[in-house]
Amino acid sequence: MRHSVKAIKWLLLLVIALWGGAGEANYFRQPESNVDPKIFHIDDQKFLGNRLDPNLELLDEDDKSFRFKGFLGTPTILVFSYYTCDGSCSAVNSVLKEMVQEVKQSKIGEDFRILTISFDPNDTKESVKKFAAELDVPEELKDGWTLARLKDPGQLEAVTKQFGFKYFWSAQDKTFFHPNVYIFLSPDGRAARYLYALNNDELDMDLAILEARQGKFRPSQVIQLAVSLCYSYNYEEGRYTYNIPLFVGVGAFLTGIFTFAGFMIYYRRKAKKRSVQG
Amino acid sequence: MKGRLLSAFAGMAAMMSSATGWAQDKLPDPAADWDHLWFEILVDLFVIGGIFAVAAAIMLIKYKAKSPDAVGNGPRLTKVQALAWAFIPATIFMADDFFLAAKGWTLWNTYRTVPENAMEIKVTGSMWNWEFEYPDGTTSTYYPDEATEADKGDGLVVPVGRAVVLRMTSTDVIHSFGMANYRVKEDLMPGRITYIWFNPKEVKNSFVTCTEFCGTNHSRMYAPVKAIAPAKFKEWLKKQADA
Amino acid sequence: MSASTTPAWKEWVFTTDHKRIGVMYLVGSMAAFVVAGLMALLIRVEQSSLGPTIFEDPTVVGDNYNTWLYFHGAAMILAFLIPGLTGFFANYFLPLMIGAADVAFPRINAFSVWLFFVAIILALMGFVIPDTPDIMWTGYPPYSVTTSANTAFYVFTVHLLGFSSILGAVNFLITVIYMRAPGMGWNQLNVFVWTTVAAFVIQLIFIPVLASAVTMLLFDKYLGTHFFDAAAGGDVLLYQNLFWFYSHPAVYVIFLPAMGVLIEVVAGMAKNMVFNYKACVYGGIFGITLLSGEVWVHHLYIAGMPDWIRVGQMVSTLLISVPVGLMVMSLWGTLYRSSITYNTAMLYAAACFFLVLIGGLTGIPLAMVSMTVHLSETSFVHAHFHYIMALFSTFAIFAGVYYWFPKMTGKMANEKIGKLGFLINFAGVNITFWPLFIIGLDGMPRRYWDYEMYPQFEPYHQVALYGAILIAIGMAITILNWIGSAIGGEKASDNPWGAQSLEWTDTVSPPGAGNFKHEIKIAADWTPYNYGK
Repeated sequence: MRHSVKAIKWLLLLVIALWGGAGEANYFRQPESNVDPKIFHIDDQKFLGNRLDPNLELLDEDDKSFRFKGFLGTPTILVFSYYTCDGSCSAVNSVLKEMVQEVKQSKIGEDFRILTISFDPNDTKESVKKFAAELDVPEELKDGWTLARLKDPGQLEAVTKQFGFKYFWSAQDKTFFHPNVYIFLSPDGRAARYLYALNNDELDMDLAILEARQGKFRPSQVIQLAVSLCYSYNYEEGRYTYNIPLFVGVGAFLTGIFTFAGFMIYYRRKAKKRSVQG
Repeated sequence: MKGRLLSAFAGMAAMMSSATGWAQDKLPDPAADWDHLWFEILVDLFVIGGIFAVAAAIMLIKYKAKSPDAVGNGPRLTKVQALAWAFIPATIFMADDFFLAAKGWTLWNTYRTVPENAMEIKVTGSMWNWEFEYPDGTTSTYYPDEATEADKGDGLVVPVGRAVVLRMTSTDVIHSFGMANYRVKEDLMPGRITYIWFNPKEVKNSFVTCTEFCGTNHSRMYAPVKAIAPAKFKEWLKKQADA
Repeated sequence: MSASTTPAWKEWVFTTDHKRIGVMYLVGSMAAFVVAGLMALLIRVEQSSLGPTIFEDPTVVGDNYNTWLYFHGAAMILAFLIPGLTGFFANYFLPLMIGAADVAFPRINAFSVWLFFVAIILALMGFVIPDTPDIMWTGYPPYSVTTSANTAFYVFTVHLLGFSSILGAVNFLITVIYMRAPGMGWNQLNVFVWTTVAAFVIQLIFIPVLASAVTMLLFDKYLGTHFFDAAAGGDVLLYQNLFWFYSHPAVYVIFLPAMGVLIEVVAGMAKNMVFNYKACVYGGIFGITLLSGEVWVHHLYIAGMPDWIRVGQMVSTLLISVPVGLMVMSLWGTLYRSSITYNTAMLYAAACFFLVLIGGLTGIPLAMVSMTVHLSETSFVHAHFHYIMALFSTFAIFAGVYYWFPKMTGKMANEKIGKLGFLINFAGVNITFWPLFIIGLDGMPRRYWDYEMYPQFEPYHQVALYGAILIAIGMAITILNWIGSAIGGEKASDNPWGAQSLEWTDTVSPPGAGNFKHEIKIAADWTPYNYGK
């Protein structure tokens, strides 16, 4: 499974490299040289804490209307994408599919859910169905993954803008240009972390979900909690790195005890020698 | 402290009357709840403190040595007495602890449960001023060292009668957003978002002060917090957006 | 001593005698106390009026109000209270109380005290180097990393004091375990010995954590690492967690021995046995030690920690009141049916009964996360911990010094001057800190030199200044009294108070080399509080 994720990523990177815009390529799908990659850069610190309106009305794969409210209570991975696959499909979902299957610390459907929202106002019930077939989400993920559209496409700009998500349609390439971003929403529906399809792997996924849970762990999930403490997010690299001071602190915690044990052994030996001589 | 105690009594009376009017005023008021709980704690502390202080004072006077050679003859406790003198006080202290913890937790939940439809304002702290960003993108700041009122800015302006939630972050070091009038405070850190909410229930001018040491101008990092009538707020916001 | 031909200074510099080392700790910690006390006075003066008071612009780095705050906090805690209690009292009296000739590793003990002196000198150099440190004794990053001030001296001071404390801890724990007089059981130890053991256990376990935290601070600032830099994957809050993981237990490193000294003084001057000794030791002292490591988050109540940990530590923090309550019960009970002789030592001890009540009880709302949301970082907190650390603990130290003064010097301290100093001190501390409780409740923030937004607090700050001046006078009288009495005081007998503890009954005043003239054998029914049998 891991290999296929890597394969897709390498393929995407290769495509980008071939197109020549390798500068900020890490983050973005960028099939055309005259698009400035900077417009896709999301200054995530500005948008963290913003909330997806709980009353936002959405349509699911069967065209049934629902509100985002139902997702509250557990973290949600929010993906902005589109479902029409003329030429190339949006890779952001397929990479996610591979990565989510590797997520170990949290269970989809129980500890977190995925919500893909289309930013293409032309998407229909049919295009979603077709896309779902194409994406072929495995059975164990199906319950926790909703492919949705906005009920009122007029809200699109407002919804995407508040997460700093920019996209546009290129008539020339017949495709959308957009950041391949995963927005991790906290249990109350607020942006907690941004990760990118190309920059991050399943470990980051795992950790971002743990982080988005914001301390909401059941007593049986002590291990998950401990794992989440061992890493912290690195804004510079856009990934999770070891929380080194924690390990240093724990290590230091033991030194005093070892020092004491060492001195005690030394003293006892000395005392023994003295009593033997005496 | 006496004056404070009296004012706490007055506050208590006010609480009683407002508690009956709870239904008409649906928005919780953490600041008033704080005052209420503070009064209860004060009573608790004065009772415990009073007992111990009086006991100490009586014994310190009563057991003054009658002659230089006199020695005390404190009771020798039997095993049962010793255990009782450990467990009974421990149980009483623990009961009081759990009582206070339960009270504290209830109030804490009020502090952390942001009411629906609260107005969201983003707060950015930096050395050494506050910036407030309203939902429509309008910003407001305050520079205490400027010469004229206009140059200083308005600080945080909020409409009365609606909960306000602040989403806060810092661009440099740790600051802390402390509004004494609304009995609430939380740190701002780079790379993290923290939140607090408050209920501006009446027209009032108060202050927010930085309450985490942030360098040389720490004591001058403050801004007014103006709670004004909703109509006036609309006017202000429009004026601010145009400016 | 008398037969020796070595000059006096050599005897002190190369000494490995625990009593002399103890006196050196006392001198060093009192020096730190005086300098840090002057800083406090400067702070009070600066705050006594709105706007700049002493300097034109107190914000200028170099002439820095913030440096006074930093030095006052760091020196009072790290160089006065902790070394005063675990350095001086433990060194001088712990071996005497357990009937030992010296400590387990006398040369390491001498090394510890010299580390302590180097650390104090390093800390004092903070005033003369360019860019004096302005990071508060807590040194929170990112400020402590991005500031232009020099923080290396702070870090090295903590290293040296930490190293000194760990060596001291190892030394004294082994001393208590292996060198008690033959026959002395665990239930026959002085309460002070138990409190010292607890304090050293806490030091041993937690100090390395503080040392590691400040070391990473140093690396971040001077070597360009990013341990605490949020932008580069560091964790801003972790420093605070590591810092308070030591520094809250450090409060008990101060509180416990202070309580121990107090109980010794009260038992000795009221000539009574300690009430419910076992509850005090096994419930109180052990309980505090066990709980001390699970309450640090109450220093981070408003720092955006997850809600579950804030609520959890609210409960554990409140529960600290149970073991503290048990110690308080023993302290109060010791007065019951006692026979109190009032001298200066007992006056200080009597004052402590009330100071510990005010300090302890004002801590209860601060243990509650929902109360702290308003009170945190205000003068209320400031006044609260000063009642425990500055007033209660310092008064306990003063009570102890007066109580053991005849033993250490062989002279009686002047009672009249002592009592005068006590009265001025007691009035001064209460005049200083009550106004701070009141304005703290109304929102006066800590660590401000100006309070333009709250001009109504000015009179309170003025009253606090008058109190501070009284404290300065009282302290000067007290310290001069000690010096004067040590030189020209009336000669003291070996046991002027008629106390029953070993250091009074079995040594001369002052005790010579080797402490005891004869071998100590402890009877099965002996206790250090054998009064009225």
